[in-house]
Amino acid sequence: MDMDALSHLMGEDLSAANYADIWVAVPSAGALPLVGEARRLADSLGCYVHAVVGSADTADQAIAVGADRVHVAAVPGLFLAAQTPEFAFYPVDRWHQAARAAQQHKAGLITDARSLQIDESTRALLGSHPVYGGEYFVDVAVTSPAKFATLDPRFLPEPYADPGRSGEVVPNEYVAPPPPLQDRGPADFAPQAWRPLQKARRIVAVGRGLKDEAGLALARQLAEKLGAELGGDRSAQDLGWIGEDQVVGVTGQEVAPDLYVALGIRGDTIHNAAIVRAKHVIAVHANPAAPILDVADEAVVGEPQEVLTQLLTRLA
Amino acid sequence: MKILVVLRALQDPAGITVNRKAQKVFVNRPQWVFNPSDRNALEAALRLGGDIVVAAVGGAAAEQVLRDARAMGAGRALLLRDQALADADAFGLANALKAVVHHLGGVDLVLCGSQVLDADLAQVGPRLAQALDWPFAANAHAVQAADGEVALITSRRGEWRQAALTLPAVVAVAPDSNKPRLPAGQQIINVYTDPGAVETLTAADLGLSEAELQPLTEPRGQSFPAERELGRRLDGDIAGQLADILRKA
Ligand SMILES: Cc1cc2nc3c(=O)[nH]c(=O)nc-3n(C[C@H](O)[C@H](O)[C@@H](O)COP(=O)(O)OP(=O)(O)OC[C@H]3O[C@@H](n4cnc5c(N)ncnc54)[C@H](O)[C@@H]3O)c2cc1C
Ligand SMILES: Nc1ncnc2c1ncn2[C@@H]1O[C@H](COP(=O)(O)O)[C@@H](O)[C@H]1O
Repeated sequence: MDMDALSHLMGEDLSAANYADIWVAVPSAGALPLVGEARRLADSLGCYVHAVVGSADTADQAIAVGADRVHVAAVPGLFLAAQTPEFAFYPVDRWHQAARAAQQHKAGLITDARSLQIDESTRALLGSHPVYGGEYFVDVAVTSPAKFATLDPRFLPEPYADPGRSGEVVPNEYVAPPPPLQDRGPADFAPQAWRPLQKARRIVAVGRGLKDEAGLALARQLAEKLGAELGGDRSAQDLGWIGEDQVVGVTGQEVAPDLYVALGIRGDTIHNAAIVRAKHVIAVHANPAAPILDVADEAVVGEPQEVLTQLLTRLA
Repeated sequence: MKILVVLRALQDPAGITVNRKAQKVFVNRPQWVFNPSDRNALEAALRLGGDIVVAAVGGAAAEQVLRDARAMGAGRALLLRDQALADADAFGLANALKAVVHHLGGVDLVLCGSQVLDADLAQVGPRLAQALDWPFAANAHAVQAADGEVALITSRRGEWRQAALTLPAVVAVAPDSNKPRLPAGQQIINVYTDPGAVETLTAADLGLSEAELQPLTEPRGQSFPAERELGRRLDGDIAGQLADILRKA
């Protein structure tokens, strides 16, 4: 559908002409890489970069990394929502503000967008959105007059800062509405008590490749020696070796230990996507084609029972 | 109190394999499951009690999830099924769910899941809140309702906070925030033998216009990260090397 027909249907003038420039919400200095990203895209389009900063202290830095105009507002995301941006970028932790603003502006939004580009002829915003925490990506084009994205500063380059860049701080009289989410103070709260593995620093995880109860017993010994929690994949639960609350997987628990030892686990997507935040992964599997071996820092192709038996004598 | 829980069916992640070498996602077992945090949302609703309605936009998979929700204890299920919604994105979905809220009338609270396992867009909740002009809270634990407000616990910059919203409101329930009940066997039989367990609506029934459902995003295919650097394959004195690594770890 072309834009005129869409504007007509919506009963308002949504022509791209009303929506201009790239606007960036910068609630804190941590979001400055988004301004650098906006600068990169603005240079190819030839438009301005507006940064909405949460504190006047960040104004100079925002200009140095690429903002042409800086606006200071207590809640940058809400101030931005009251403007008419052609492109609007929010840090991922303000995704709720971005989604509300996008709905208000009848705009498409790419969540946690990577590899952003703008198609110069159609002005569509192109980006990739991670699925299963980045196992793969879906490429999305936003085609509405206003186009929104949330970005994770961790995946953006450190912006180039030029202290000599010129830019302008534009005063505003905007008063944010009172927050609808009423804060009632700190909560004495510990969630997920029945998900013990999520806090574990060390996990020994078992799978069907351990073969039998004897293999399981060896794995338990290793866990004890390392002071590790016992976990496993779905196959281990099916064998009755572990309980439901010990299953590692995107439908079980996602874990982030310092050490993860996978014994006889094949490593399907559902399992491997749940250990991406583990710092150090060691895997033992008899099948050299097992996917777990490719995601491990150290991989051993061998019978887990045999490897364990020898390892336990060495550690004794 | 009238609570609407919105649910999405999810391709069972146990049935897919992402193959980076082949640059392809293989679906080995096409099978649909209840998105996990949506199950937590329904459990939260059942604990609050009252008049509980579940709704989903979709086709056969969504209908199955709605039946499962009825078996868990939801009083009524609405399936919004329409070709006009086949390509709807989060914008269209939020407008469609807003129409469901108006169709039902008198809804005090909408609960959704905080995230969907695969795409994890987290857009439907806040977009729906905006469309309704209701307040929104994300990542809610320990949801309670009384005196015209909903109280909950949420995290803000890594700190747990007590928070409240004035009803009507939209709340996204955190995954793992409660332990969802299992449906009783007899209940499962009841809903699967009752042809009226899930009511079907079309876009026209809800008076939805083309502009409200117009997709604003277009999927353009999939891409794959570079293959992870292959792990170091140990050989030689494997047990000795592993012992060294583990002693240092
Ligand atoms: C991999 C992938 C990437 C995509 N990228 C984008 C994108 O960047 N931008 C975009 O606008 N669209 C995108 N889409 C389309 C998007 O999936 C749909 O618009 C829709 O399903 C909303 O996203 P979500 O399911 O991830 O919902 P989320 O916003 O993550 O869902 C939150 C909650 O909303 C409720 N909900 C979600 N879907 C339904 C439903 N059908 N019926 C009832 N309740 C529901 C559930 O309670 C759920 O827990 C993408 C789709 C896929 C598969
Ligand atoms: N997790 C959340 N869910 C919903 N709204 C939020 C959340 N965190 C903050 N807000 C709202 O966003 C606004 C400002 O948030 P912040 O930018 O985080 O200071 C306020 O109106 C808050 O009520």
